Amino acid sequence: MVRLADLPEWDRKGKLDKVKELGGFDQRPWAKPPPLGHCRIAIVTTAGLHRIGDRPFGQRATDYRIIPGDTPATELVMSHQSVNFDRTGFQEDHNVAFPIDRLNDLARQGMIGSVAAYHYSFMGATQIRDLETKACELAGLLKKDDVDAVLLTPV
Amino acid sequence: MGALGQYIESAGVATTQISLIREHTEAISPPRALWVPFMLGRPFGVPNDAAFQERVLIAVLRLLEAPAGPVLVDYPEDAPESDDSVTGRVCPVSFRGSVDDDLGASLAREIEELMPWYDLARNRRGRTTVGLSGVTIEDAACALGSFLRQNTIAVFHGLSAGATLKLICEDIRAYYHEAAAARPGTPDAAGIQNWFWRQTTAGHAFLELHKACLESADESLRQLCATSLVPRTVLREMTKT
Repeated sequence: MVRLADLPEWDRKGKLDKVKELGGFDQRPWAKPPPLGHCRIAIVTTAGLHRIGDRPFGQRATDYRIIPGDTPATELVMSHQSVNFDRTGFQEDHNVAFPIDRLNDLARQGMIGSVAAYHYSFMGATQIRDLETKACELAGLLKKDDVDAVLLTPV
Repeated sequence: MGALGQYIESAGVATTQISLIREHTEAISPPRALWVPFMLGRPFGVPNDAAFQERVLIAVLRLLEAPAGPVLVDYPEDAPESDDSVTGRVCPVSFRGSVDDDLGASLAREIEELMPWYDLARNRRGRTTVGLSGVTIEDAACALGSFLRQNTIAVFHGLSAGATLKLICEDIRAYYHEAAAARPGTPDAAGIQNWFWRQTTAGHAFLELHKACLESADESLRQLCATSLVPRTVLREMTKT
């Protein structure tokens, strides 16, 4: 678990020190989606996932990879630059980091409206403000896919 | 992650997210976030438990129904512990020989010995995450061994030495992890990590590579060892022992 109180002192300090770099997000954007049963939802992950033939992520990459919704799990790989998180869960079951099967389950049950045709992956070990340009570009693509809401998943 | 929520929502698309480090999410204050008490790398808690994953997913999607924000909610359920975290079992694989002077040869032998476990894991799962580098696991091991002997590597097209070694090392580590997880019982991430770094030639080779990269004149190799080769927790533990 990542309760800071449970971490060794050096690790807790490192994570708390990072808080200082995260200030300045003073806007409070708020977009109201339709009711969940009508929502078309896409996943955007920072797990550094992509299809096996795609270019791997490099150091401090700020671009993204496209994961079509019908990508078989057998084609999903991870090229995240950080080694400071568990990979065994993803190796065992992609849904623990990229819950595409669970999202499709909810669509079949009618709990959400539909699942987007395309999902996207960034590589999270980068300067977060450097992601702004690509994130805005991505928002335009999501709208073209009639996406109402994005599920953001880190690792 | 929170920054992406800010940017995408500002562009007019609603977002909801998993938070793994609550303090970081509080600092950025994205529109909607569900903090979960799970280990880094497992935002939906536990592999191969669809019911558990679905409960987390529904909780984070329900935040889209909030009338106003920002919203930061704590998920109440811990991920179930694996059997192995109680029993302390690690991996049934023991290796024939000790590490000899040629790390590459030892690595190749170890990879061969692990092959039945890796094959079992791949067949059971119907997938493998090995394959980033585009070369066979034997060739990946050979390339790493060669670099440790000669400090040179034939780089992949368009990539630096550091980026090439990163892909090779990712494949080797994934191969070991997948093989280790094929043992009986529920895989335990900490047990697999402990086994890899303390009991395998591959872990030893990665630590030697880390040392070599620290002293390299090649910036891509120094970057590799900065964050992309050995976990911080392992470096701390290894320097203590």
